[in-house]
Amino acid sequence: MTRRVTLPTSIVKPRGEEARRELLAEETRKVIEEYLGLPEMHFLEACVDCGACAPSCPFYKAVDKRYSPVGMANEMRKLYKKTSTITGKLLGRLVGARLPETEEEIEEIFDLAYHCSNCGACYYTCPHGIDSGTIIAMLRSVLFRHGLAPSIINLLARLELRVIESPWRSLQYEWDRVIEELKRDHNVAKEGEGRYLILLDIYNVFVNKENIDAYLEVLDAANIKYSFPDRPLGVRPPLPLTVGHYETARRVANFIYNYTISKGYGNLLILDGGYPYNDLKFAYTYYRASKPRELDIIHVAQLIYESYLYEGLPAFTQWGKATYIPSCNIDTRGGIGAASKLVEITARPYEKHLMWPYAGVGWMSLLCPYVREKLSIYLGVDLVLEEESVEEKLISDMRKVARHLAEEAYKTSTGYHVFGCIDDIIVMRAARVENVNPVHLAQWLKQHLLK
Amino acid sequence: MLPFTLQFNPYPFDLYSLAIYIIFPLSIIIFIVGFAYRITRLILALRRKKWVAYRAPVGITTLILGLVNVYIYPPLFAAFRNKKDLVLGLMAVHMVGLLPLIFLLGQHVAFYAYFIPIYSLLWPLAIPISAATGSLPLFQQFEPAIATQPFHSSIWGPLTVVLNGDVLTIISLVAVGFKLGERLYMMVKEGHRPSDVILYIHLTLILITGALAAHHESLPFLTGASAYRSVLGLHMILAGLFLALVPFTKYWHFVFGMFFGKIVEWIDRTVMRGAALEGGRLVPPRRKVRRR
Ligand code: SF4
Ligand code: SF4
Repeated sequence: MTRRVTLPTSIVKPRGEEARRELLAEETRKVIEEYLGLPEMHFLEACVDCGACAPSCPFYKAVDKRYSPVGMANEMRKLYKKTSTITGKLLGRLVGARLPETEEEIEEIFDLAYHCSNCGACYYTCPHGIDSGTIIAMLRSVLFRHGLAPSIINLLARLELRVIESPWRSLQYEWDRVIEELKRDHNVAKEGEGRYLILLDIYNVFVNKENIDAYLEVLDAANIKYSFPDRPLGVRPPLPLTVGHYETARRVANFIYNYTISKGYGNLLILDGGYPYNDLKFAYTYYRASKPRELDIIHVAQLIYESYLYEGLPAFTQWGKATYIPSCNIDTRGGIGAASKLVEITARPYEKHLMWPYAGVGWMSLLCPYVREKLSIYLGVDLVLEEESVEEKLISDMRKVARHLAEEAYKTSTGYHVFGCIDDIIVMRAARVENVNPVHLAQWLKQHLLK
Repeated sequence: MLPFTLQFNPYPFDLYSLAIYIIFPLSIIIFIVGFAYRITRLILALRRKKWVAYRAPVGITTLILGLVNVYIYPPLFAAFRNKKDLVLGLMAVHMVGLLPLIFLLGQHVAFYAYFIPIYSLLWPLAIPISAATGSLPLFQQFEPAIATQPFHSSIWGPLTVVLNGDVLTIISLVAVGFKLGERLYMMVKEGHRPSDVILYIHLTLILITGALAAHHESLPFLTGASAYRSVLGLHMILAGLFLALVPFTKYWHFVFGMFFGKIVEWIDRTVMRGAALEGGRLVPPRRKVRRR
């Protein structure tokens, strides 16, 4: 029999509006103090409110005009100006410096902050080089300190540390079972013998196994020596980053870096198409984790590309036409050119602006129910939210976004749409999008490289 | 005791004198101090936190393409997806509006070149005040021949029919008026900051006073030196204020913010992460595999 566990939507709720305001100001100052570097200062101070970025944001296009990148980022700018700039302190509202006054306003900011998936599309289209996604992520961090985070994401983020430090028995048992299956089907090197340690986490192993299988087959064919970790390296690390929980994100990332090094590997291989590659490789200074110099983090698309193409093998462009849909976190923020190079592209980027925004928060909103379901099984509890409405709204809005993007993708009508990220495919299925024929990059490669 | 230049000035205390001798020098000082202040803050911020964690290997082609891309992507995107913004924002306000007016209008070139002699290099690009004059009035006194060849003195030739102070002012007024309306609406409906409205009103006033000063001869209420000096003085005071506000307001973007922002984006995306085009379409250079 399963137990019911009710999760609160927020973590702590300070009482009284004045007290909340004071606290929010204090938390903003702390976030600014810790995370303001040169790019962030530019992002916060140089926006001219022209709105040129807005049409690139899928939430603005598909959900509501309220969710424009600049509109959402301005909520952080208001806090920043009020607490940390001279003009803001002197001129207050005249220059848009203010703290929210009522509970409703804070809820409104919370809603805005979670309608950005940090996909980076607006970064490309801003004429002033402003990355609103980064600013909105900062806002989520302020809200997190203030006790506000969607409960299911927050729960998984908190569980992540527990998962990697000491996975509970039922989870480890299930994990070992799936890993044994993978080992049986592939040429997995013994611990310490492979050159690459593959980052396997709960999400990849339990939700994305068929694509992991496909990638492993391609790696086997290329004679690449890889090994598996002996435990899940998180739910989908560094998950706490998506809710701005930097302290836990740091511990998770440090654990993974140290674990990889301690097992004798210099290369951590990432198969995931979402945020783990970018956040573990590039973004760790945001949460001040300390990646050792001797550790390299590589994405599987890059490795396959190098292994095959530099040897003069095979002509990827002759595999027939497909539209590659850049996945935000490996392509945009991760700079993995190889992923898109493995598929012939037919969409013109300026015109179509295909970008699938499920990074972090986006993924969370739509996919958390899946992960929640799995975890409920392994934990033996039925996870119930105190306020399902926050999650429900996010999920329904993400569906709208998925449908909108699928329509865009459909316009390129090449027959196949290849995605580097499983999230996009799951999300499309969840959004019940027809007309688009989604294929995961792993399957695409397996189908063509191994025929 | 009045300064030397003021002793020979028949109107030592009018708006024009105030603009030339007090407001403008003061504005320049405020501008320089403000500029230094903002740059210093950026430098301090750079030292506070590491930029990104890692530098991906990037080839020279990627670096160049990445740099080109950060500049051309936004206008190209706007051309496909955001036409209103492209036409009203980028084109009307900037390209065929304020920028040529501020930097290339004949009178302005003369004014800047007086203080910064090297600015006179831009004379060939200077634009006349109206289509009717065609030639640059300031040149006429030196080259009488051009009075009969209206476009002779301008590199823009017959383009001056459009590229002249009057037409550019009208375009700018329409675009700034639109923006002002938009910001007023946002302020009332969405509680947007009022400073934007103030800045657009300020810009409108600069444009109107500039146009009045340029056409004072044909405007009955501006005949006479004193009236002319007043309206020109007002124009210059407002322009001085503009200069002083640059480091502290969104005006910052066209002096520094935009160019710097694109460099920041280029370093962040291309130099650090190796992405050149959207979706990083370029082949990354071969990585050295770590062996342990
Ligand atoms: S982020 Fe960039 S594009 Fe968006 S409003 Fe600000 S300056 Fe304009
Ligand atoms: S990062 Fe993506 S989701 Fe967030 S505001 Fe920008 S375009 Fe929208």
